Amino acid sequence: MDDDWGDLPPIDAGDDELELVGAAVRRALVQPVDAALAEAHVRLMVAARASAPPPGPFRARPGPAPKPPRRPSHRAPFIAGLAAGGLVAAAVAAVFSLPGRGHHHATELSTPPPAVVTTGAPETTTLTEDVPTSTVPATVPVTAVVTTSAPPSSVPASTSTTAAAAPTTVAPPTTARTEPPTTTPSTTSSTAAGDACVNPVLVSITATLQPGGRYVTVVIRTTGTVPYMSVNISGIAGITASLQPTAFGFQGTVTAPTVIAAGSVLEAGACGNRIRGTAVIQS
Amino acid sequence: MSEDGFRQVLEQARAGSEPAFAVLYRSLAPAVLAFARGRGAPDPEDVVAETMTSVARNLDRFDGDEAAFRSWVFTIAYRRVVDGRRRASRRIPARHLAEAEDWPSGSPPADAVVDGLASEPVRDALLRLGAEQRDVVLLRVLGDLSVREVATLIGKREGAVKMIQARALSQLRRDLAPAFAGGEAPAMSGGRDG
Repeated sequence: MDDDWGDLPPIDAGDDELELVGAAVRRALVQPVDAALAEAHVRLMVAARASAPPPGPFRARPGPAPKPPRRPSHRAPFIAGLAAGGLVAAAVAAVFSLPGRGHHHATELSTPPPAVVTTGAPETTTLTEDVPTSTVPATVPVTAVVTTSAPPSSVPASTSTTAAAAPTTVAPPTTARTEPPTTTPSTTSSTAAGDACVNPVLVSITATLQPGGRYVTVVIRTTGTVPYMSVNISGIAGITASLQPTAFGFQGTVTAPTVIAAGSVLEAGACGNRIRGTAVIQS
Repeated sequence: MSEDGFRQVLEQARAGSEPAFAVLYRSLAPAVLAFARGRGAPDPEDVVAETMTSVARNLDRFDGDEAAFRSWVFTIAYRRVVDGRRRASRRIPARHLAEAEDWPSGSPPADAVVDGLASEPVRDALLRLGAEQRDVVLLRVLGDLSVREVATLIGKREGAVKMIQARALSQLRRDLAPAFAGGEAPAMSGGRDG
């Protein structure tokens, strides 16, 4: 098909024409980028660069966490099948405070501290975590754009600079399930169902208000498989979120039709409300 | 930008310098945004954000001069647009900002209106092109990609790309001639660059 072109003008004749048409196309399409948006994008570039793996042959590649060596002393006795054995093993592991099977966020499960992000931006974090029962690596999510319309009613107006109140979502004490979410907040919309989530964990949220007050740069760190992320700003309707999946979670901008006050609460959630968190927007 | 200047900016960007990223962004983002708009991306600003963050994240993989850098960036942008189209069907459309909100607040309103009117025929003409024709024209015009680079990117032979380009230009010239018959004629006949 590529070779059947029929009668066409000589190819060389297109060079000048390309210049002429190109000038019109450039004039029609090339416009400067909004200054505030450009600044937000540049900050995203800096954040992306900071999160990039180091160069060189020994670059760390994301992948499954290494399996820990088997510890026969902690093996569960065969009592009533594999399920019972697994429960006993889990209980033994909890009692002896075993390392988290190589999962790098395992220690955060019992005492979730405010996370630290290396972007240098101030942040606040509230965590609600699913129970990590396996070492599924963080995979690149597929879709991450959500538009919200109304403020949530459950987010308190926080005056703290460290953490907002933890959402009440409780993860089921079993493996990640594929059941549809039942407590999805009405303020969010998404294209992915909760059943695409595997061991989702919300690690941290950073929300920084940009000059002009209508853009907020957001960096959300997650582990496990989180295919989408919903965000909302308390008290502001009609926000537009543009979050891109990254190696560590999501990052992007949230745009509001009105000026966002520093100190407003940004809420993020995914996986049918199995993970949720809030952060106070810092200026 | 001089070759040495470009390399210096690139090195600083690799080290995480925000001013260096700002330089790279200013030099390429408007063209990437134009490419995304011309390609009909549903969220052109998203394409810019995704492209530029990908550039920042993968700077270590790039090696070359400024022209090669531009080609590399547009290669990423092209793939982001293609990926975005695949995602579009699974995505709840976000509310788009009003057109006036997209442009710099410092632009004189009258100029913005004139530019907007002048751009419509070109945008319409581009949208009437086939997807391949539009890709070739935009990558050649905005990305300054060579025929060979475009051929590699879209998976065609160089000869095929040249012919796609010839047909696209011929159709654009036909479509735009009436629209620019008024005050915009010099843009077509005199090669005015804007």
